[in-house]
Amino acid sequence: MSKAKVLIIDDEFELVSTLTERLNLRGYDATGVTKYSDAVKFLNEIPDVVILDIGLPDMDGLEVLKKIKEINSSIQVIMLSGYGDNEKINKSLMHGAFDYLIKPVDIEDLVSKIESAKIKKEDIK
Amino acid sequence: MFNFIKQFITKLTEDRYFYLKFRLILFNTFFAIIPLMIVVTITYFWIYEIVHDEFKNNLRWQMEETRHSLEFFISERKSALKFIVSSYPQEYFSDEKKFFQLFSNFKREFEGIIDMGIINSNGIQTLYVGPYQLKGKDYSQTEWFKEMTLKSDYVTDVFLGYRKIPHFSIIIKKEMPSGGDFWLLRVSINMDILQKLISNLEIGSQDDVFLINKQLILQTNSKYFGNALEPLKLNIIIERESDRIKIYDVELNKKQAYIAYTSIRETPWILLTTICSKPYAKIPTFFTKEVTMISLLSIAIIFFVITTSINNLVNRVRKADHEREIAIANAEHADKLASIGRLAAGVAHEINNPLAIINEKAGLMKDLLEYGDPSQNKEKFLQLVSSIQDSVTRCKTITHRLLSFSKRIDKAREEFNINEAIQEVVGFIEKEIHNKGINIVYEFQEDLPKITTDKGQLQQVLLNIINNAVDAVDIGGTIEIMTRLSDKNHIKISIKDNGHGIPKDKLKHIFEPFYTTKKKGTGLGLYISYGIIKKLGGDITVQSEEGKGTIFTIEIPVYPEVEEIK
Repeated sequence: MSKAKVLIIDDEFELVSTLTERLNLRGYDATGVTKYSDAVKFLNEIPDVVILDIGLPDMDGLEVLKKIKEINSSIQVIMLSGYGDNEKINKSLMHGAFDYLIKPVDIEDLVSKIESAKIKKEDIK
Repeated sequence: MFNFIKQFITKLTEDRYFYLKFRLILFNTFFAIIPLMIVVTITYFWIYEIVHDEFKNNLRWQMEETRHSLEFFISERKSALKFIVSSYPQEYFSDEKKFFQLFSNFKREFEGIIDMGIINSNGIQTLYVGPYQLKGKDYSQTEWFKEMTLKSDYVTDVFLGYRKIPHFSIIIKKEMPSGGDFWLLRVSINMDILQKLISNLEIGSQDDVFLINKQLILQTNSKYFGNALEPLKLNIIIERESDRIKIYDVELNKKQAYIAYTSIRETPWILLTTICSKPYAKIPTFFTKEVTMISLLSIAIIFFVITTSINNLVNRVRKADHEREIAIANAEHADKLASIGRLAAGVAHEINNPLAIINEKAGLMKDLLEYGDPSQNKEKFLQLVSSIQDSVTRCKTITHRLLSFSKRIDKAREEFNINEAIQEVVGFIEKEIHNKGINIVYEFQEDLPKITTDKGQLQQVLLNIINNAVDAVDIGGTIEIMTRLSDKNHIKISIKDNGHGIPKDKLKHIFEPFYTTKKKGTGLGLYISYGIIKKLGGDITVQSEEGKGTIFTIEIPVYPEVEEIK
């Protein structure tokens, strides 16, 4: 089974770039963007897993989740939250998010979540 | 005494409950006494009127009595004389001896008779019995003799006549059966008898009673208005032919008085009474004493009852106020905790971002050590470390800001620049503003004086209002924050948003406690903000138009004169 194709959307450039590099080091095909408008291009290529920050400058994370599910419902979305905003987390889970993580994330947790998400996506296929 | 008043006034001006109590007692007592006063006044006039009427009736009745006795006195003598004239044989009126016998009999029966005479149709007195020598006197030129040609009997005015003593006469005419001739029987009566008759009228020492004739000549002696036969020294107009008793209110010697009069039938006289004493005034005086006592007692009772009940009421108000103050203090505390909670959540969120970066950078360094050749990655490592340091600096800024805010909670007054304080507040909710894409426009007056007040509390208010503005605007909205020096000692801070605005019917309630339009609001934010601004000696107003936005304006003194803020 090939490594997952990952798209990271977060408004913190430093975070996005580092996380992308770390995932790439682990053999994933990872891309990072800081705005939804930049993400659209990569979403059309249908990534396996999207790591999505709930608070984005140009669009609310929940809206982005809905858009992603519209493009392709098999794309698995792992929500990333700055702090435990239970309401938003629950809403995103209701809207089809795969799971959520609270910053700062442990890379091992993230990797295992990506793996599980990838398996889930394969199953849907 | 002076000390007591001073103490009272100090208490009145300082203790607002005491002032309230004092005002309520005064007000209530005043209005409770009014009906009492009305009743007393009405009763007084009512009783005065009754006594007055009673007195007038009594006077009328006495006048009536006196008039009757006078009329009786005259008519009795008249009919007796008429009887004598018509039934005694003619010789009794021509023979001197028999006429003397007649006079003696008559005098014995009827009091006051002085003399008696017969006057022929030429006016010459042909027969006379009495103490004076009046036989042969000519009366043909007198008023009464002229009258007698028409009348059958006559009562004269009181006059002096030949004898120079005031008297009056009763004259009876005897018509001779043979053609036109007549003679007159004349009886003189002393004026004193009239004096005696009218003195039966019971009057006071300042009052007067007397007879006058129709030409206002006194017929009896008067105490104050002259002696008999002198003209009346009293300027009145008298209705001459009056059978009924007339009573008038007049002014005599600048005093209230009464004049009562009535004419005596079949005589030329008018009975006149003047009353200057006020026998009717005695009862109202008595009444006044009694009523004053009762009124004072009533007022004392009213005052006691009102004082007791108002005391009770004010004590309850004081208790309720105290409880409300505690409730508000609790609410204020709760609001402070809520804003600290909100702040903490924001801070956690903001700190987690740089922490996540640190985590990733450090993780990448570890990864590089594990996966690659560390000697080739020196540049990369330096970059990562500097990134980590940047993130630490970011965290430090946030924690320092939080610390300075929490420190300020204990500090009551400090000098600070209002513009910087506003920017600090906006800094607390930077993330939220950023997320919503809100455009903050500052229109600061740069040369504002430094303000001395409770920074923490002012910032709590500003945070509250700016937070509301953030909630009110849509994504991409604008919030304008303006500061101006409105006058020498006041700074005006306006926070204007282009959000959905507040409907007019809700606008008047927004500063009330527990009023909220938000799903999760407590309704205390603006209420507490209002309280804080008032406490700091300022004012807070709001203007809003539905669909266009809201402007909150805070005016705050540069140097508040308020008592030490707690």
